[in-house]
Amino acid sequence: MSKSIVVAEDFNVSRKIIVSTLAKEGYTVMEAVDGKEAVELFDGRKVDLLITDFNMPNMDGAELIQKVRSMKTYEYLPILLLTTEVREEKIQRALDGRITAFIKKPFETQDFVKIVKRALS
Amino acid sequence: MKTDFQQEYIEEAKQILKSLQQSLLQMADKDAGAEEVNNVYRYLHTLKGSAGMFGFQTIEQVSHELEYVFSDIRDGIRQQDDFIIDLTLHVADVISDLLDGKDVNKAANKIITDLASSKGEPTLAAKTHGQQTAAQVFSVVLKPEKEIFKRGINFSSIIEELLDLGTHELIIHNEVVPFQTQMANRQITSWFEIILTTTKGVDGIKDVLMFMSQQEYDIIELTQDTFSSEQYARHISLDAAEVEKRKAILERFRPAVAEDKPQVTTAVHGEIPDPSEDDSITIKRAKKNGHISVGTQKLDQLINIVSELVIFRSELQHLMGEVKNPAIVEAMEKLERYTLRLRDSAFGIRLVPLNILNVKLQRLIRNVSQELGKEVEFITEGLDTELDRSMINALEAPLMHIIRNAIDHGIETPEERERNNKPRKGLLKFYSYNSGDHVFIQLQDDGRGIDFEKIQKKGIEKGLLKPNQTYTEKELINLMMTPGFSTAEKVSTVSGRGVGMDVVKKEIAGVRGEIEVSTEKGLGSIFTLRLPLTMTILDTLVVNVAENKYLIPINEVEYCYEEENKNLYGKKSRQIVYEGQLTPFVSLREFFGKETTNPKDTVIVIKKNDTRIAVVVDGIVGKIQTVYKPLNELLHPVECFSGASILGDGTMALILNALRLKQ
Repeated sequence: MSKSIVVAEDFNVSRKIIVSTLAKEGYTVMEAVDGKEAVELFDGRKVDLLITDFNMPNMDGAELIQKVRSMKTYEYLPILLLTTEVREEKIQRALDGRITAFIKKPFETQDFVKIVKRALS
Repeated sequence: MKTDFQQEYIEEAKQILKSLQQSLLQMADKDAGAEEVNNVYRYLHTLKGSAGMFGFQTIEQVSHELEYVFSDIRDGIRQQDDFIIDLTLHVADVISDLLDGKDVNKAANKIITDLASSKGEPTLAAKTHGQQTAAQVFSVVLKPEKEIFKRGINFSSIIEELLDLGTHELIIHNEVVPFQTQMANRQITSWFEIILTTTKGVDGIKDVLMFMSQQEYDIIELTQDTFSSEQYARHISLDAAEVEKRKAILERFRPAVAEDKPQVTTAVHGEIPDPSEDDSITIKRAKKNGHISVGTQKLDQLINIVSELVIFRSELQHLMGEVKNPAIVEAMEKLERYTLRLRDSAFGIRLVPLNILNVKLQRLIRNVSQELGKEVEFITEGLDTELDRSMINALEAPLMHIIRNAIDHGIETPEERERNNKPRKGLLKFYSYNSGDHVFIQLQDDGRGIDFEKIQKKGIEKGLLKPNQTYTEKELINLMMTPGFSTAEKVSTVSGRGVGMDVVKKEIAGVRGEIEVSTEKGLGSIFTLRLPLTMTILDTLVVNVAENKYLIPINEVEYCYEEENKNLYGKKSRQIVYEGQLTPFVSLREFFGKETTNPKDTVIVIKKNDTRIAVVVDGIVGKIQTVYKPLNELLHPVECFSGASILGDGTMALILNALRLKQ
């Protein structure tokens, strides 16, 4: 069974790139344009990985992560945070102990796939 | 060639640029608060984040440099000033040009170097990649935090993968709870020492440990002396027996290391999969508030078809005449209902909020006020009011012109304002609202108001007015809007570039709108635009005069009644009493030079722009919905008709512009 990945990213083009990259790798991808939409996807279904942007309207990455983590089903879900944040440590502190890794934007597709594979292993 | 993704990026980036400009302008207004700064920052980094992916390196760099500046402003390290805002606005223009494929790299590079040197930080550094090495022996020390699983990291698979890297020995320290139980409970209380022979090198190990933080692991290349070294001691203080044990392990691994020739392994991670193997499903969620962009041509086509359908329905009703069959009547009513709904939704598609003009107007105001040395505060209200897209396009130029005029002629210099006990900053208010079938847009300034003496003087000079005659303010305002009139004493670049208020008036009339001006000397002026919601479909009253039919827009009709002929024409003046007021009337039969023979006529009281006029016709035929068609240019001088329309029976009828009948 292919792995399911939720991608939350408000910037359409980035999201499409990510989705098409992941789809090529054979993953099942679910898209959300913001945290609010993404949270709705976590309704108990099988999700193997969450890839989310930090800065999003309606609900930002931090809140999304907090919401997802608080659900029993997704307690140990790998979460990758997309960020271009210059001050990465600041986010790191905010999300300490709750996310798996950061993916810095812009990223090379190869590196991205590598991280995703690692997170799903 | 641009790829689809690039094209999409360009479009999306342009939207972001628009939002960016808006936020910047709001920032410039001060008191905007941290949110706007944060927005600007967010837009910049979204631009940057994706630009790199699509090969727009210059955009990436420019936004990267600016991002620092705004993150500093946000964090209070740097003060926001006009320089930065102007610079960023300039950058937005440059990026926009870059997106259009214009060669502005020079300008862009200058911005980059300027910004980079101003903060003394290096620009984006290139990444370096790891290398493959020959077999080495490492000691990997893992001290994961207890709740590492809560980060979504499967620690047991990390250990497995590490062990898979080569010959290994796993030493578990502090194993109070059995290892397997720790993994099952997802709580790690032990720490781990793995002695490992691998050809993958430090980088290969780091790959596996990608998600662990620097404090959670250490990788030490082993030699016989390492165990007693300081680096090792940091983790484990070993007694002699323990050191010997490890040395023995190392000895066991040694031969393997010696035999291992340096291997060149190709990077398997970076392999791009064959797209033909792509059998995945992408579940796309329908976006709430999603948008589809549709070409205006397609939309126009839709509107045309709907318009034709509306006419066709009228025609059908006309053909049916006095059909009494209740089933058919009911079907006709249904048809009417759905046609109306179809019409409303079709026109609704074209409606867009006025907000889309906001950025343009704000930038204009900023530029013009800077150019003229005036200080202007721009307040908007009701920007969510929706108007037909083509109407908004048509309004752009006139609105800009009115604003230019308001800043140039209306609002005084800060010094003059202070002398007149006004705040230094002039106020320019833009508000719009719906009222009935119309949308009103008002532009109000608190400047010096319209100088009627000046207009009169100028009018006389130009031979447009007679000297020694008094004119009403209304007449002078009308004069102001006649072609070739401009009061600006010197031709500034701002206003008076050949187009005057007459062009504004014409353009607004072109979309069946009207403009009204009210002004108070020393206090300011208000320009009110009254615009129809849709440009093409009109509810009208069909009236007949002699053998001809005419149409009167129903929203202008206030009251209808029949009147004895003698009561109308018996008096000298053509006036009726309506609601206790004398109201002028125009008999269309008289107007068209026909005899008035009917004993009774129908009076239709029309109210438009607060002016009342009555029109006398033979009778009312009915109410129909028609499609407005503008008149040919040759007929423009005939001001009493605003357009024409096709009736249900296929004949043509003219639409009355009642107010013009009087003049």
